[in-house]
Amino acid sequence: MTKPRLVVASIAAGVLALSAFAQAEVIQRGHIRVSFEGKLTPHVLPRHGTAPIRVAVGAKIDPTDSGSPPQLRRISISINRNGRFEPNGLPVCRLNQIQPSTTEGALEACRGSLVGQGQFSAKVLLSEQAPFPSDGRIYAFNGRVGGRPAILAHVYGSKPIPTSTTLPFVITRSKGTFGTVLRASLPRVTGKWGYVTGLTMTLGRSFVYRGRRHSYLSAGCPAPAGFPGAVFPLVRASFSFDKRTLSKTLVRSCQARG
Amino acid sequence: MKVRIALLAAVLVVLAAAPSAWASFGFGPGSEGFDVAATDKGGSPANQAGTHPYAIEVDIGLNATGGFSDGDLRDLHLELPPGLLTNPTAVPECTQAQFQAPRSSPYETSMSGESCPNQSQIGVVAVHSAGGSVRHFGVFNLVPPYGAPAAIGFAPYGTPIVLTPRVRESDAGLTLDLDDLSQSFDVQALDLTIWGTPWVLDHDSERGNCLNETDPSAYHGELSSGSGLSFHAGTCTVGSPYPLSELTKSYLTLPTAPCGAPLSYAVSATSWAGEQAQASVQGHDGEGHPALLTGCNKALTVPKVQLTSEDAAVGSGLVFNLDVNDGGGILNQAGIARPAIRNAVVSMPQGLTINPSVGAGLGVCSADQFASFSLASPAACPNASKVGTVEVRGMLGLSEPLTGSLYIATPYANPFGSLLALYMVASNPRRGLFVKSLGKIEPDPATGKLVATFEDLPRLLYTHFNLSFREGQRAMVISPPSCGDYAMGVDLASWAQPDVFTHDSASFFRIAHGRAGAPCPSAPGPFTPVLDAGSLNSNAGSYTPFYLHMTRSDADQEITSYSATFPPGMLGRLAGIPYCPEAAIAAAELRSGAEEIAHPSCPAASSVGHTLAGYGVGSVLAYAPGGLYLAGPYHGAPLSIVAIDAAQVGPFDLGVVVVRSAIRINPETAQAAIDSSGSDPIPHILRGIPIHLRDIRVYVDRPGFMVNGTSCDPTATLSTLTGAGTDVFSPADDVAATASDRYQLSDCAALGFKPKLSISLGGVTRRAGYPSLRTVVVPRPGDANIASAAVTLPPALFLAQEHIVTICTRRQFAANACPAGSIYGHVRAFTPLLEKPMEGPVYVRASDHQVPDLVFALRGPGGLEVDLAGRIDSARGGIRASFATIPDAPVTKFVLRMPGGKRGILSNSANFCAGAQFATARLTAHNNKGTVMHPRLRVHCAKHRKHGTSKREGKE
Repeated sequence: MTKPRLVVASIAAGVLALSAFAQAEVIQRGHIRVSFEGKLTPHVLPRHGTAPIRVAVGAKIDPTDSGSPPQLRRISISINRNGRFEPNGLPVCRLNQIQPSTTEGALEACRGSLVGQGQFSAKVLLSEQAPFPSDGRIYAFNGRVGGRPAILAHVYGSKPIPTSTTLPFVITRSKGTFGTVLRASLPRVTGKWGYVTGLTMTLGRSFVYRGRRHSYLSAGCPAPAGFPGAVFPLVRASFSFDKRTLSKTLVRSCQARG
Repeated sequence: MKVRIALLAAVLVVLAAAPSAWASFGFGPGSEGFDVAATDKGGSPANQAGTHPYAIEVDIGLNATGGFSDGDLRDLHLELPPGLLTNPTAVPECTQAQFQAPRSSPYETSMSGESCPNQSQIGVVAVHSAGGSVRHFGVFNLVPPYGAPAAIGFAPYGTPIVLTPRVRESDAGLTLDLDDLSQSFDVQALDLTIWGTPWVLDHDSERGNCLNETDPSAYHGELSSGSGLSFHAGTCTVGSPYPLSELTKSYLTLPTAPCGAPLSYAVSATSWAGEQAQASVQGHDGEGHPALLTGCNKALTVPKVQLTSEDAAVGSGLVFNLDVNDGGGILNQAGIARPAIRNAVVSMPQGLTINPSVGAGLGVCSADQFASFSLASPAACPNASKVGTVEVRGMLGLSEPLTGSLYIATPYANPFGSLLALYMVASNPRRGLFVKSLGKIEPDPATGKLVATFEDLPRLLYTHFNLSFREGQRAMVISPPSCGDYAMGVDLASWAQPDVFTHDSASFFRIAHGRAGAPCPSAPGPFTPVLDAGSLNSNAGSYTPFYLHMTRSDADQEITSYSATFPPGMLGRLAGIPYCPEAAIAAAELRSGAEEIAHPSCPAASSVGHTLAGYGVGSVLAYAPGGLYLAGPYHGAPLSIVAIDAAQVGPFDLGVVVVRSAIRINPETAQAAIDSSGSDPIPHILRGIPIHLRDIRVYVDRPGFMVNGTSCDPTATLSTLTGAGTDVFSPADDVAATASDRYQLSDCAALGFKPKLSISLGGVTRRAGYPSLRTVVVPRPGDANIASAAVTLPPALFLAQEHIVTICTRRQFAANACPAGSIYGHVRAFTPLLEKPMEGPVYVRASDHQVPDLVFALRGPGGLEVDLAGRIDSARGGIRASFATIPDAPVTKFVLRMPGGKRGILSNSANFCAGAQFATARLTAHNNKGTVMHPRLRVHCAKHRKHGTSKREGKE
């Protein structure tokens, strides 16, 4: 083994070791702290071509002090260009089919469009009133918003009161490192005084369309020849609050197969 | 004709000569007609005030001549100056029998028609008869006839002549009346000599048989020359009645006033023909110079004011004594009389106050009745107006006192124009003496401290004067509330110097213990008032009179304010009852109690009951009735109750007491409460009279006004009363005491509970719409009132959080300052208690729950507020609104409207026109009955009415 190869191999091994123990990335600005994490499965992907994958992203928003963080207004999740969205063949769920509705109602209406699940948590802070949690499960449906493909993230919570919210993540193509961007503007789901405290969503679904198996998300591991894997920026997430936007890129690795 | 002229001339001559023989009736000129001299032993004028002169000589000369009976003297009235006293007790009295028995003298034949004992002789009289003859006769102190204080008599030539002293009402001077002198008695002049001290030995030669009757031309006591008979002065001596001459009583006493002025005498006479004559003269010396009264002394009077009880805070008698001259100056020869007291001002100590109960059952004496009081009309004042007794002893030296009564004068219609005035009358009918005086008691308006003023006390000199105010429950005064010695200040002014007051502060009384001998009360006293409250009809849901009875004991502190919280559900039906106008309430305070009783300030339509307030101390209180009226908002409270009491106890009209109590309604429970912080304080003192309010009775008894609740759970009427502490005039040391009275209704089980409830949706009822909501609850009349309600909407209805833009904070809500954006609906509640329904916005308000509350802010007249707070949560997937506390108040209909669309806070997750949706309602009543309903949501579907509601169901 030549010296340069040894160096590259060492670096690659080190990166792999790091990625294996990857923890949440923390961004802190002012009194806002966002813990962001992402995960790509499976870890082993074809060196050439793509395979179905699942991408899990999550964020936890905390205040750094005893106060409350500002309201989250927009979320932007940019996914590496090696990942591909393939909604074709999935039924399209319309917003008014699931909003408002219970989870059961949403699944009953758009079960065929389901592309992911997750959790949503928020706190409602009203003047002179103790903040109370408003939690719910997210069911992500393949949909369209304004003629563009979208993910309709339906949130339903029954406690303390039945509420239903749908977050439409519009999917757009982009050039550069991150080829796919999911953007969602959060409605005032918690009213004027609420704030989002956490969001997780795992996307990925395999389905058969016209006799062929398709995957809603697919990706490969573009490692150079001779390298066992690659390290790449998986996701770049941006969280826009009232007056500030916090962004973070998650670097993950994959192991090349073939 | 010549003959006729001659006859006429003769007649004229006769007529011209007539005046010498037919002198007109009257007194002679100058001192010949009338002269008086008070002299000392040497014959000089006696002018030392208050002393006892040697003699007073009265010379009366008449023009009337004998032989013409119609010109003879019939009546004679000799007016002595005020203060010139005769003392009939100085010497023994001559009885009528003795006076009528002709004198038999061992020396000669007497011409005196009496045989009075020598000791009863008080002077001599020289009788000048027609023809110039003069004869002396003894003058005696007779047993007076009924109605006269004394009698002076002599019997010249067997004709009894009696001079009867009479007290003039105008100036209390004595007038000696001689009435109906025998027409046969021929007299042209009388020289009357009254001895100042008859016991003096100098008069021995003029007494009885020793009076020179054997030789009328000789003067008294002189030996008659040429006569075989002789006598010695000591023959008729009477000795001294006492071993010490200083104690020898004098018959005459000179006035004590006016100093520096001569004494004035007057005489009037009437002939049998009806002619009248008057004459007057002033005291003078031998040269005609005025004999001025000198040596005037100040009053020597010891005042004494005492309470008859040594107990604290009890009705007590009050005794006012004046001891004049120690009794000696008037009578004793060596004594000097001091002037009588004219005005006395008694400043009583703080704490000694008027008893408000004194007026109960008391009558009054009018000014006319007092004016008409006389010996002939001794009972002019009604007995009911009597509040004490009067006794005057030693007047004219008499042993028999003048006794009488102390009467309450008609308030304000008296010479002082004051609330508390007194008439004092005393008499001795046997002696023909009576006195009248005035008094007033002025309480300090702020402190109740008393100042008693007595004016024009008896002028006729006396030795003791006593006023005794009655004791007992209706006593005039209440003793101070704490133990100790209490000094009195007494200012006295005499008749001699009415404007000069001397101060005496030696008088005091002592409070030695508490009531009935109990230990001295502590300060401040306890405060343990007792409350008794309730409704007369205890059946749940029934109309009933309601009463509130608060009492305290004498030992307790004064009540200065009270608040009361009525039992839940005990409410008043205000519908149809107008408020008493504000102007009428304001005017009431300016009226008299009598006016208020005759014409109440507030209209009868506003009346909701009456009050009875008990004032005073002890076991018997004085009660004053009052009216209870509904009034408008007061001190921030939505309405008020005004008690208008005519403070009229017996004759005392202290005006009108207006106590307005703010009625607050608990917005959560609708409990009515009297809020002392917004109410008028209970007056402690009225016109200077501490009212000692001990008993407050409030009767809310307007028919159909008060209504019971429908809960039979035990509850209570809670009251907080404020005690005055030590200082009744300062709120700083007030203390509060709570009193509770159990209250429990009965027969709740007899009340049914079957309300109707309908829920309908309007607007966009398809999926994803924001429908409007209308809920109507109609309780059945006569049922128990709703206590709680929980309505769960079908799970298909979601809370549209995106439309809940603004909520009302609790602080904003408390300040009635909720932002308009926090209004999400409107409610109306119809109740028989009010003419108009209560209505108001539906707020989303911050709460202690996880989700803000839905609050129905019902508003009524005058700012009446009832807030129904509903907790919002979920049950079985549906939105649930739970109203845990609904006031125990009758409601005939309740309507909730919540808009849809952009303001809707509900959203559909299903098409409500596609299938029936049901809500669940759990309602409980205050009588613990309950019902669960599953009303179908009525939906107005344009094309598919069958999915909505039937026509019948669509009606509210």
